Amino acid sequence: MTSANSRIPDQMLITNSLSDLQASFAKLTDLQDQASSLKRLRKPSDAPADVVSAMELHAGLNRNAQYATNLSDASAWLGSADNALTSAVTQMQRVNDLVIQASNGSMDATTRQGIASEIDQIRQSLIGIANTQYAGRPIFAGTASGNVAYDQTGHYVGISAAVTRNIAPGQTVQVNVNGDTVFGSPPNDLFTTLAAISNAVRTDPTQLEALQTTFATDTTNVQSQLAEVGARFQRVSTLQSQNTADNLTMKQNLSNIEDADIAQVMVQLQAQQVAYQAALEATAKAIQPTLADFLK
Amino acid sequence: MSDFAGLRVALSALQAAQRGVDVSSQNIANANTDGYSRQRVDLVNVGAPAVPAIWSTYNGTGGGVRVDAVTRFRDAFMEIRAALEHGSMASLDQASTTMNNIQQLFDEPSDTGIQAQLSNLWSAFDTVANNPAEPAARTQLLETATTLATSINGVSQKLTQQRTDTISELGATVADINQMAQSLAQLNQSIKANTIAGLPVNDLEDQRDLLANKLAEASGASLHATNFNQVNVVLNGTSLVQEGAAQTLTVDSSGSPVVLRWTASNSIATVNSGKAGGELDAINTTIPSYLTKIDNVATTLRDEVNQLHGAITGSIDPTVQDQSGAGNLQVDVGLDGGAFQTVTVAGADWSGAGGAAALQTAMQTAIDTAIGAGNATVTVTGGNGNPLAVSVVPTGTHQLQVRATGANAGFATLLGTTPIGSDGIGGRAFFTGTDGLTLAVSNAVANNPSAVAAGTAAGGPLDASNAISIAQLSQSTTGADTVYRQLIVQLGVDTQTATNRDQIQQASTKSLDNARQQVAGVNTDEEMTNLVQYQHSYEAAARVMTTIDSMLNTLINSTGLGH
Repeated sequence: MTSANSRIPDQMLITNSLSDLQASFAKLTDLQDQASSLKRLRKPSDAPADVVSAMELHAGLNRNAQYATNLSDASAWLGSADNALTSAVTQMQRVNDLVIQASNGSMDATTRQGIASEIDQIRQSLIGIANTQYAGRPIFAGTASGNVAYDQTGHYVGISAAVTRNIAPGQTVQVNVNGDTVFGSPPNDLFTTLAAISNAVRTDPTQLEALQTTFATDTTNVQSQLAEVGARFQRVSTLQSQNTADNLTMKQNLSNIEDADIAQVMVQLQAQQVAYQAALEATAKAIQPTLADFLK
Repeated sequence: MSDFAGLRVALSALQAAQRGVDVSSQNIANANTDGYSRQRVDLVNVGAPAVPAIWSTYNGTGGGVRVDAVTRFRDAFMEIRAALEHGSMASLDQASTTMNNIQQLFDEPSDTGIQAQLSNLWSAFDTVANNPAEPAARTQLLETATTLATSINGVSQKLTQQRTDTISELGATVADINQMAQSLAQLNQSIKANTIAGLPVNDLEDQRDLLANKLAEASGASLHATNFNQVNVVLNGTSLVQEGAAQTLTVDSSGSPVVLRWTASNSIATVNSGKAGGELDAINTTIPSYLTKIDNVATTLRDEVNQLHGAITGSIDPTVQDQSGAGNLQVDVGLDGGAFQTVTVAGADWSGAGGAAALQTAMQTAIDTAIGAGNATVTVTGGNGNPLAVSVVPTGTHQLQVRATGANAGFATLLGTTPIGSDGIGGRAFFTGTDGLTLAVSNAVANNPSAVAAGTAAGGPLDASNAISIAQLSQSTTGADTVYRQLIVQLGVDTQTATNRDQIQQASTKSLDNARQQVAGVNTDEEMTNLVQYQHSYEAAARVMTTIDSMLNTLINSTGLGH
């Protein structure tokens, strides 16, 4: 600050020492703040670009937590649909067996009556499956607000529409399957077909052959919807593990940007403390003596 | 030369040494006085008379020593430069303080700042989408939105308050400037009078320089040395202090921008530097620019959410554009919160080439009939094999709400994509307000969870497709999140720049101050040395006097007839 052969007035010595000490103390305070908060970024001016990255990551983590909630909701919806449809397919195979059995002309009326009753039971059971609920909401009823997708008579009362979830940035998944898509829409729906089959078994087995074809179409339809649900379920599961991984990556990145490197901060803090003490001692020594101390 | 001349020479030496000790003691006494310049005794030897007298001769030994002047050490040019540097330092200090104060209003990066609250809002829309039948989810959404709006209001309020506070500070600064200018003019007068009278002005000049420097620091004015050791103070070409006369300034905060005026002429005083300049910059530029930025965040948020929440639109598929067999299509329309009026459009075939125009005319006429002409504009585009896009926009500041009339399908058919609340009403804005200060959840939605438009008119009671769309605004590259992050990065850069510029200016001002101190400051070691030096001179002069005394004693008492 001063040239080699300049005068150094007392006031200058004091003000310079003071401002140097203050600068040193400010550095020390900053490092102490970093060490106690464990954060490198505490205000936008610390590193504007990094602060914005940190904000994006904070927002990303926040949204990611919501995506995780949405994903488990989606997974539950699709899981319920998958279980329901798997069970439906099993029961429909049983119907198929019974129809083949009933098509055998040698069967007596009582036996056919029994088969028809079983088919009626299965129809009721399938209506129950079509009314499967998740969290109080019938999953095959679209956006309808009622408690069921099909009434007791097997009549569709849902409103077919997509129920979707945001599951990742820019990605949505449809978590429902509409009842009429799975079970067909009247009059070509599964429940009408089953009623007709039951009736045919009871009264006129000759109609069964035609009904069997219709039923086969219904079965294929349910199976293909099951496959569709399975595929979506798979996608949701993949995204769930992706979500967890993303969470970890974002936390890691945020920590890299935002957190203080503790070892580095501690070493710097130590060094700064030593420097500050040295400055204090040097100042104390420099300020004390004047010529007055040595003149008699 | 008389025999007693030697005594007078010794006396002058004693007196000179005495003055030297006096000046050194004054220097030591003021070693820590702000603005004090060290002084030095200028000694000259008293030599031969300039005009030799006829009856006396000069023997060449001289007549002793004389104190010519007590000189003040001060570099006038450095003072002028220092005034400029101190002026810009005060201005940059103010800029840095302003930016740091603004920065403190934004709690970023954190889990509680506006950024976090924005993502909470989007997540709350997702929660509504997950549970469209759950009033609790909607209530939570409204709470989250209110909290966000309040936070944005808070930042705007504090910025406005900061501007008001800075205007008060400017008033105090200007009062200070006026008072200092007055004192400086008086000092100038005293200095001029003393200089003319040949009296010492060192201490008055020290006071004047200190005051001039403070005045420059406050006002950013420049200093100009003038005759009789006076200093003029000039503010961008106009004299603030002209020798013994001072002008005054007043703050005019009646308009925008806030300006300083010369009290006498009422004309605007241009102040770009100094504390006042820094304060004017904060009042007129820095703080308003951040108010505009936070307003921009507020209006972007309002517009992007309202666009999805309150739009009245329809999209009619080609398969259902032939409504000739549908009879009357009816929709209820309410203007500005008034009672709903039924709008009746007779079903027709709109699938052809002129379908869009025909539907537009039919709907416009029907709406004008129901709520009066000029309150809403209907636009229909597309058709002829493509979907018909219907849009109803209220004019000016009007608000328009729509709902289905009983079981009539007119609403779902004509305006099927209109977002509706669980009460079946659409067209309600989610946010209202014109800037950051007034942003709020609209009255139509606040305290009314069922008014949150999660679904659409054609979508069924539990439709939540609209809530899903609004939640996706978190990814928008032109949305409130992005605008807010741009604000924060600008804030960070501006604060950093202001702090750095201030530090650089402080360093250069400090080195200039050091240079001034090197000239004017007191060094006690130096003064001790001078003291010893004068002490020795005094002793030596005293010895001379004793010697002459002894010589005279010899001459008078031991020489001559008495023996």
